[in-house]
This record gives sequence, structure tokens and C-alpha cells, in this order.
Amino acid sequence: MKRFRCAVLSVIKHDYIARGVTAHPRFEVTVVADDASQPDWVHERNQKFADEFRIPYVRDVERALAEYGVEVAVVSSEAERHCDLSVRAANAGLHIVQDKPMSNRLSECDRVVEAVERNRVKFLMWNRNFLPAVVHAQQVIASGAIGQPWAIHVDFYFSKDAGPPKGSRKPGDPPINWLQYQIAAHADGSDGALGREPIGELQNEGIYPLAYIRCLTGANVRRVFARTTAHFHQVNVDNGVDDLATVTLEMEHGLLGSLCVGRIGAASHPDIGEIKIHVLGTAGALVISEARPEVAVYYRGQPEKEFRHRRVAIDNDYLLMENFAHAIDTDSETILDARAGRAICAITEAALKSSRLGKPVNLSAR
Amino acid sequence: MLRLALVGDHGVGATYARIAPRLRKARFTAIADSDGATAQALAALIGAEVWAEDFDTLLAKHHGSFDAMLLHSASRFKEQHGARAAQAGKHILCQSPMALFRHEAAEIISVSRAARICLMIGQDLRFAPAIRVVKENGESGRLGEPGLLRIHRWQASECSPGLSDILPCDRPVANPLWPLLPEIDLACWLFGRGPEIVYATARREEKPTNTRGYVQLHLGFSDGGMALIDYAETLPKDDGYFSLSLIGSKGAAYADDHHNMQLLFTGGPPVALKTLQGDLHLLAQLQEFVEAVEQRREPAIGGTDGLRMIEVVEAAARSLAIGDSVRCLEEQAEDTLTPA
Repeated sequence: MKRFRCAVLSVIKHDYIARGVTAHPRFEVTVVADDASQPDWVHERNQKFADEFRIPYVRDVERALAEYGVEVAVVSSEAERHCDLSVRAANAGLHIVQDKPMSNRLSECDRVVEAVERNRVKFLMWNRNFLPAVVHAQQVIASGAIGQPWAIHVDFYFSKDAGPPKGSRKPGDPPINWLQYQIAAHADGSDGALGREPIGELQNEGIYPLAYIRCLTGANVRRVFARTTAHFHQVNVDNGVDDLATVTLEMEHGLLGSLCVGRIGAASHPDIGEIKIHVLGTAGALVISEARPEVAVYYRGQPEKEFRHRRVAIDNDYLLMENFAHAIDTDSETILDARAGRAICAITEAALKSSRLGKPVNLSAR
Repeated sequence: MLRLALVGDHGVGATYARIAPRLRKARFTAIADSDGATAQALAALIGAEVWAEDFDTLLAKHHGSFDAMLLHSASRFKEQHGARAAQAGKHILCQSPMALFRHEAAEIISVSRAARICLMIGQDLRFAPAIRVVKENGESGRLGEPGLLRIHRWQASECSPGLSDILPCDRPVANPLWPLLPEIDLACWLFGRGPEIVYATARREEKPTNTRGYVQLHLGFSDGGMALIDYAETLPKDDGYFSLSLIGSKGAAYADDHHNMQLLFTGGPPVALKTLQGDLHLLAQLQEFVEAVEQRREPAIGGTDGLRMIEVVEAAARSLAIGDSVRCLEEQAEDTLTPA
């Protein structure tokens, strides 16, 4: 089987995608690259990853793409650079695996869709659709056990802290700078949407539950009504972005649905968070806990922040890359391609607009 | 000892018969049921001295046999049982909804205040053991400021006598959101206020008179609070499903049937069985009413709570009709309640 040489284009947010790519034996990371104009902290993170994998770090994206014989780009930069790096990779003829969110601007997503389709390359937005419980849900629905789905709800509560709690800023203290906070928070893994421009949790995490809905129903969203707020974290308050959101979804074929997304704080759940999928169909209903299967582990002296319930049998990374490889091999679409990623970005953008207006917002049918 | 009269016609008597022996400071002394044989049998079972076939007969012939009335009958709307019981000086525990329209609810509240009787709205979901734990933790401050309430309630159509089934057919009510009243009340109660904005969606039925199906309600509260509630009457059969999550600024509570399922193996895939929570919620609700009457205080769920539920459900119906969000404050501007 053909193996794919991968260029990691910036690995400064988290490195789980670049590592995830290597879960599949057909993919190997060959080079890390970024623009020379990036600040020192970007180069430091890129260099660290390159050193660990014993591959070169090249401060020139185009040169790396041209000289290292790569066929796949793995993009995990700040959110606002995602699409630009992906477009440059597509124009160089590379297939792309990209971190979320697709972008903080829909116009940037449009650039990716155009470049990917013009260059006839494959694009995969990283997602969680191959978690065991999600695959199980898909199988149950496909079996017809609950009939035709007509309502779907996803709760995606992510129980991590993000710095000091809301209301903790003292009079006279300056507001928390978003980028500086995210850079500093990287040390303990509590960083969220890395970027120069603040991004709320609906834009940052919304792709996962919206990808579930897309995967399980295949339906496009036509209208949204949303509420968003900064309820937990001072950094979100200071930067005017949400950490809690609810969205009513009105979809094709009369499907209804909803979405709850929140970075609800570490104290609010003993594990990573309450993540559930509820589906109603013409012949029944399905309630799925995304965390299952899991194993409970408790012991004396257990660290406070250690999860008591540990997910097992997770093969999401491998299965995503298997899907990506299959798409390349057969010239088929990936499980979450550029148009799907763009559609999800459009939903979150419309939801934020709805929240500002207090009105439902229609989405175009493109 | 408070003397209670039960006015009901939907088998509710059997439930009260189970909890009556555990009730303190009160006992049932009168029963009214549209089926005379049922009324007589229940009176004997529960130890009531008198029985009648309807509200009017009970009030006319046995007025001196009871101090308070539990209003469960579907005819309470058409025959204005609430206002008339208050005018008769009887304390009232009125099953929600207390009225079909805002102005009717406001009338009951006004008459009750003028008569200085205790008016409590029956909303037993507030007294359910799991919900009480959620509320207690919210009130204690452990969860911080409530931010998000998510409720799913799904039932089998055969097991859910929706309001459309018990309403008199001559009333012009076709609001598919009526079954959401308990959850609307929970949302207002847990947030400590009514919503400022409402957006409702529903699964469109082919038959315009068929209110069965699915409704979904999105509520926005001041200070950014939000609630998402969905209600389905479409499960195939047997047990329903209830799930409530309250996400606060410092913590969260999850009351979810999914967490409380047992497994039964009889060949093939295992079956999930829900361990039920009994009748304690009804006993707690009735005891609260009795205590409120005795202590001459406002009950846990007063008339204004009942009115608020109706206001929100009317706003939701308007949202559904126009396909747009509705500001509740605009709706409440037409409030007809006259303070006593």
C-alpha cells in the first residue's frame, strides 16, 4: 500500500492531530514547516515537535512543500491561519488534514472549498465521528431500529477550566489578553481556541457535535436560533466571546434538533464532560453517551483532576486516517470534507448572529 | 385537621388513596367524580364521609364537609371551579394548568386574594426526588448561577394523556405546547424568574387537529441564562424518558434516566429498565399545601407561578405560529391581573 509523506504546517495549538495522523501506518510525518515571519513562540513549539519526531523544521512553507516530497499537509496553527495554510497546501497539490475550527471567517472557508475542488485534492476536518459510541449510534440508525430520524440533540459539555472564573477581575485590573492567555495556558493544557482573534466555544468546539448531527442525519441546517453567553471564565468575559451556547436547529426534510455547547469548568463533571446524543425517529428513539465504553478507576491518593472514568477502545485517530486514505485511493469524499466544514462554520456564524439579534437566522442553501 | 375534598375524573383518586394514610394534619372527607360509582368506591377506600358526581353538587350539598379542594377535573376550566371554590372560601390545590387563558388565571388569583384563601398550583414535578436534589444544590449556591437548563421528556403516545385529550372539545385551544407546562415551570423556578425571550419549534403534523408529536422550546433569561426543552409523545410504547441537566457557574447537576437504568437479560439484546421513584412527590406536594394552609403562608407554587406558566406557553404558541422569537415582556404587557 502506498505510504503518504506528511508536512506538518504549524503545530502550535495542540499536537494531537499531527500525532493522530501517525496512528495510521500509511502516514508518516516528514517535515514541520511554518512561515519565517511567525513570532518566536510559534517557532519554539514547531521546533519542539520536530525534535521529538526527529524531522526537520523549515521556516519556509513553500520550500518545505516543494523540497520534501510530501503529499499531505497537516494544519494545526492559530484558527485564523488555518485556511490560508490549507489553501497554500491545496495549491501545491497536497491533500489536507486540518484542525478545528475550520476558520473564524466564512469567506476563508470559501477559499478552501474553491482551492480544494480546483486542485482536486482531499480535505479532512479533524473530528470525533469515529468514536465507538458515535459509530454505534450510526449503526443503530442505519439498521432502521428507530425508523427515520426526525429530531436530534447533542450536548457537548467540556469540563475544563479556562483561567480565573468570571467575576474575578479586580477593579482597575486590565482585561485578560486572549492570545497571551492562550499561549501561557498551553503549559497545563487548559488553552482553548488559540488565535490572535478571540473565539468562543461554539465556534471552537461546535464542529464536533455538528459533525455528529451531519453524520447521523445527513441533513443540512436551514435555520438557527441561538443563545450564547460568557458564563464561566473571565477570559471569555473580557474578550466578549461565549463559553456557553444553545442552538435550535431546523434542518432539511423537517428535521429538528438542538445543540448545547459549553466549556463548563472542571468542577462540573468528574470526567471530560457530559457528552450525549439524543435521536428521535419515526419508530423509536436512541440515547447515546459519547464516553462509552469506559472503565471506572478509583484509588487512594487519586489526583483531584484525574478522570475517574476512562474511555476505552478508542480508535478515532486510526479510523479517521483510514477514511482519509480511502478517499485518496478511491477519489471519494472524506467523512468531513471542505464543504461540510464550511457548512458547519456557516451554522456557527449564523448562530452567533442569531444570539446577537435575538432572532432566528436563515442559512443559505449552498 | 384540614378536611380535603378531591374533585377528579381521571383515576387520580387511586394515587391519592395510596398516599392518604401518610398525610399529616389533613384527611380526605369528600370526593367528587363524574362517575358516581367511582366516587362512592373511592370515598369508601379513602375514608371520606361524603361523595358526589360533580363539583356543583359537592359544593351545594356538602359545603360544610370540607375546608379545601383539590381540583383535578377537566371540567375545572369550563365550569370555573377555581374561582368558584375561592368564592366559597375553600382553599385550593389546583392541578396545572390552573386555566386555559391568562385572563382566567388572573381572575382565579384575584378572587383567591380577595377571599384570603390559599391557592396552590399542582405541579408535582417540582417535588420529584431527583428534581429536589437539583433544586437544593442550586439553592445552596454549590452550583453557582444557573446558566443552562436542558430537559428532554419523551413519552409513548398511549401513556401520555396530553392536555389535548382532557380538554373540553368546545374550548378553542389547540396549543401543542401545553404539555410543556411542567418543564416551563421548572425552568422559571430553577432560574428564579420568567424568560425574556421564547422560540418554539414543532414537528408539523399532517392533521391540523392532531397535537400529538414533538415540540421544542428555547428560552432565554436575563443575564444570559438559557433553557432548551423538548417534549415528544412519539415513543412506541411503555416507559418514557426524562433527562434534566442544570449547568451552573460553579457546578452542574445531571438527573438523567439514562444513568438510572437496570439491565434485564431474557435472550437477545438486554432490555433497559427504569427504577421508578414512587409517589413521594405527590405526598410532598399535598403536604406542602396542608402546611401552607395551616401556617397561613404562600404555598411553594402560588397562583402567580401558575399564571407565569400560561404566559410563557402562550408566548411559545405565538412564536410557533409566527415562526419567530417572541419577547415575553411584550406578552406580559397585556397582563390582566389586578392586585388585591
